[in-house]
Amino acid sequence: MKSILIAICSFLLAVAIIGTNLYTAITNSLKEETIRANIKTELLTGFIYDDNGNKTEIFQTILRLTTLDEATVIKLMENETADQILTDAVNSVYDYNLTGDESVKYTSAKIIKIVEDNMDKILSEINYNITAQERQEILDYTKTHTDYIIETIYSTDIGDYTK
Amino acid sequence: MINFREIFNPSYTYIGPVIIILLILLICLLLRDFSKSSKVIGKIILTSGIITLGFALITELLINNMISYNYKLFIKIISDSLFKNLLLSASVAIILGICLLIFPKLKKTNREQEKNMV
Repeated sequence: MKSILIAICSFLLAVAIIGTNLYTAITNSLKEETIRANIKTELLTGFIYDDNGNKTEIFQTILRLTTLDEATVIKLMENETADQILTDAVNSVYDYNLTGDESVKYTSAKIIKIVEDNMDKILSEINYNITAQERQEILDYTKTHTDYIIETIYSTDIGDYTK
Repeated sequence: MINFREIFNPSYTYIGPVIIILLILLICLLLRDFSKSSKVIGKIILTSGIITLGFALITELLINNMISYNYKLFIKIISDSLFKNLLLSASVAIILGICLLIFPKLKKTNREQEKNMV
């Protein structure tokens, strides 16, 4: 009788441990802050490299326009102001994927405004100066590539999500 | 539609550890011997850890490589995080299980050494 009880308890304990491990792991994975942090990493990587591991058009343009090396540009994209912009973008991606609400999506005008308002601030944070012509080139590039930028941001979707 | 956030609510995570502690106490009470209990519980925890490791590998191989291909990054992000969490839980369980299995043997060896010295 005792050995049967021990066997039952052992089995239940094993099930309880495996169940708790799975439950805790899924709970932690579904935490909003975890998903947001991971989207942020993916989004930053998505701005730098495409699915094939090649440099994206945006990243190559930034390199060409600023004539900075890769490490400096990555550092530039991770600084305080850029981080704030990325956090807002992540919130928009997250909200759009969960609600399907088109109004939370970035518009072309908003992207142009973000670049215009923050470009000087981001460059000054790393003590880098650009000429007026280079500044205009960046703005022109942004204006003609807003659709590509929006596509890059919202490619972080949940696949078969339907409204 | 199933609300996964309601099912996997962080406020329910205490239930599992409580059940585990109660079952461990029950096994200890039934065996009434620390060394035997340690061995039995160690084996169970080690087995659970290995099974959890199996689930982690399934997550990585099946979900990450197959489902994420169709469902894109959002699922990939969740499955990556799930894999890391499962790997961590499995590692902890395996290490704890091995420790519980070794502990009675070490105790026995120490006791024998003490006896020999006397």
